[in-house]
Amino acid sequence: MQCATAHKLLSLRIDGELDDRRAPDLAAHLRDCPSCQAFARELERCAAALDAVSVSEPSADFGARVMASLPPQQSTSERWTLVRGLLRPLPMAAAVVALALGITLASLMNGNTTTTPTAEAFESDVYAESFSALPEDSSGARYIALVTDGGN
Amino acid sequence: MSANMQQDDTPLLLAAGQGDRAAFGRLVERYHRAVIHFLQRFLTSQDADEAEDLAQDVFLAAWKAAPTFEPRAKVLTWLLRIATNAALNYRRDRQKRRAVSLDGTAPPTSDIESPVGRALSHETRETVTAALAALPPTQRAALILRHYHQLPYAEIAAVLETSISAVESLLFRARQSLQKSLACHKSESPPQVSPGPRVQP
Ligand SMILES: [Zn+2]
Repeated sequence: MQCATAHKLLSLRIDGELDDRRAPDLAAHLRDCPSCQAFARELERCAAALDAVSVSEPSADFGARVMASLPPQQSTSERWTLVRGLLRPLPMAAAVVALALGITLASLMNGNTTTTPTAEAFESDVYAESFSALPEDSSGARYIALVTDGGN
Repeated sequence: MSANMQQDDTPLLLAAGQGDRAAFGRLVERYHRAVIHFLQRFLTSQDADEAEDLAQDVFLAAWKAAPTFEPRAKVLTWLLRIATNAALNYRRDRQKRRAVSLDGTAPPTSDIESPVGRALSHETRETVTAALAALPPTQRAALILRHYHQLPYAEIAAVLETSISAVESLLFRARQSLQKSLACHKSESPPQVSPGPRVQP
């Protein structure tokens, strides 16, 4: 085993994610390699050092503030505000919404003056699709690369 | 629906998706510490006061997205995914937010420390915090999710929308960078458990 491989396996081992299949090979390498033994000690030291990063207790009224800020769930206006917000960055969402508008209008013209359960359900699906399209449209790597580039 | 992935809090989030505010309130109560602490560590100490504002945005987004929640995801993983996206975006328009929140009062800060943390000098704490802050954002997010939140690799992959092997690589590179940053501060390192023999009383 090369030292570079051993280093990667040590990172897995510190997380308890090193499988039994590779553990004996790593142990054998460590027995004969003082350099990797030192690397393993350094990993442990850095992991312990991370505990020095302190956090503060959340404000007692945090939950109350969140609850006071919530809009009504699933109100039509709320949904469309959200969908409209998604129109700008996502041409895909625009197409979906245009389709939804068309079908909703069509159903209205068919004589449905009140919102029918069918229209309501469809609108809900469109909302769900538009929202979930956000992360799916940009793969994690691309999204993160974009944000990283923009931030630095 | 696989039974092993069904979490106790999944019904609460599903209820929230149907407009149940009380159910969502219980989720906020259960998860706000994890979300706030994740954001505090990600933003690093100088931005920690803003973590609560951002956490509020995270829960607002969670409320809006609750109808789209898929029960195969864990509630914590789902919330941390929203929080991670918010944190990564936050760096991009931080200046704008600062200008907006001038009237905001800083929340009282009472440090929570582990015994190891208490043993470290103030200077060491700043060094480690700076080293964490210097990591590329995705490496930092991966390390925080693993070290402080103890998420399994598969869930870190879900939060970061990447593969498990990419998570392994992110964590390895994060630790390598951390090691280099802290290498010159060995003299300040916490007392390690000696591998030598111990005398039993
Ligand atoms: Zn070696």
